[in-house]
Amino acid sequence: MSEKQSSRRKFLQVLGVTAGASLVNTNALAGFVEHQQLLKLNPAQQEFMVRYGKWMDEFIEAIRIKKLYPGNVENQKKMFFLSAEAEKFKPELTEFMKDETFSMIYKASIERVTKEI
Amino acid sequence: MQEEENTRRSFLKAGLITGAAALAAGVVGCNSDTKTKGALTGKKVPLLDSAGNLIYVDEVHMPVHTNFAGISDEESRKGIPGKKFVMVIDLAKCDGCGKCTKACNKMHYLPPEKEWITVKELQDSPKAAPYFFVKPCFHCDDPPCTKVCPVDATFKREDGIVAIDNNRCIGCRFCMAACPYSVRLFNWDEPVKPNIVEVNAAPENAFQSKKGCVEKCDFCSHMSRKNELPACVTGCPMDAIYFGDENEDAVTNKSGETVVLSQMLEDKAAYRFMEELGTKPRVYYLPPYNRQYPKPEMKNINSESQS
Repeated sequence: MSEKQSSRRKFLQVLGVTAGASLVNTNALAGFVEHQQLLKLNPAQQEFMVRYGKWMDEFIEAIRIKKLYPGNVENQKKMFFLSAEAEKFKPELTEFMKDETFSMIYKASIERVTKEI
Repeated sequence: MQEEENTRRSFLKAGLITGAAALAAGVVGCNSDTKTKGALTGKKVPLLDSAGNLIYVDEVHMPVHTNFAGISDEESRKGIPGKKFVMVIDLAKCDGCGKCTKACNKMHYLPPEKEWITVKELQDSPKAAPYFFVKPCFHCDDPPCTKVCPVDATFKREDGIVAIDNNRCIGCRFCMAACPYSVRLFNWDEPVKPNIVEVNAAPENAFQSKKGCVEKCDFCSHMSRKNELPACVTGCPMDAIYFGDENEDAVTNKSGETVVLSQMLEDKAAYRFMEELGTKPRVYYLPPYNRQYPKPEMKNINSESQS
């Protein structure tokens, strides 16, 4: 499998979409984004969403711990680390957000984080 | 030479008309408060009326804007040049009256249930008397909140203030999750709009609340722009809150007592909240040593926690 195909496969896995299949119920984007829309992202955008999706997973985990144990210093430090990680995404994110399709998919994808806050 | 003079004259003329038009727009277009009280000053101001005629009105009728200082987006994102704002809260002086909160709410047209600056009673151990902990936004120099914002709606200004542009905010609340101090609030409902000239959710406005957006203490940046102290500082009857410019190494309280910042921090063993996180807050605390108000009632926090 080529690197490009592998990257695409990872992207689809993150979105909860398997090749040729429809969106599954557990997909965080289900109900927000049409399958065909997701596939409109270019390879660079897809690769970005894979990385950002992983960051969101960790961010959600830290949010859940924060809600349960607000005084947990280790979790606060982790949150601080994750914030620094988020800053690294900004140059790419700012560029991609100029694309209306990406912007729409991105906003739908962060809903799952917002719901946890 | 003559051509140069003509050009200058044309420029001045154009400036007069443009300026007058702007003033006229202010009078005609805005629902501003006007100085209707008091006698006429006799000083006339040229204006263009809606028909384009040059008219003169007494300056007593000129509009007084109670909000929106006309600061551009660029200026409000950059901050006030040459400044580095800092706050010091003397916990030995705070008696927990909550007038800082009330003054803040009044300044920002916030309902009582919303607090940008909170006052909580704390007791560190059963043998230590309680004290009151005042908590605004810390305007961190390494703020996690701004880093997670995907649209740069919240940002760090050159003058140290962490501001929010609610015209950009998409309401994702990432900043609320990232803030370790929980000082950010979300507007679930439409806020009650005050009866003021202009309502704009951009930074450096007294009223910034917007449905579906985040808000917090902004160090009263619109007051700092005018070289005035934030509402919490002027509202504190105990002179417990100092505010100033780190570049000038000076902070001032409500009574106008100005002290050397670096000396105060050193002499009074100042500390910052949750320093270990590395957020580098711009708010310092002076420990509640030698309290200048009646000692709060001692509480047995051990028995309270067991019950």
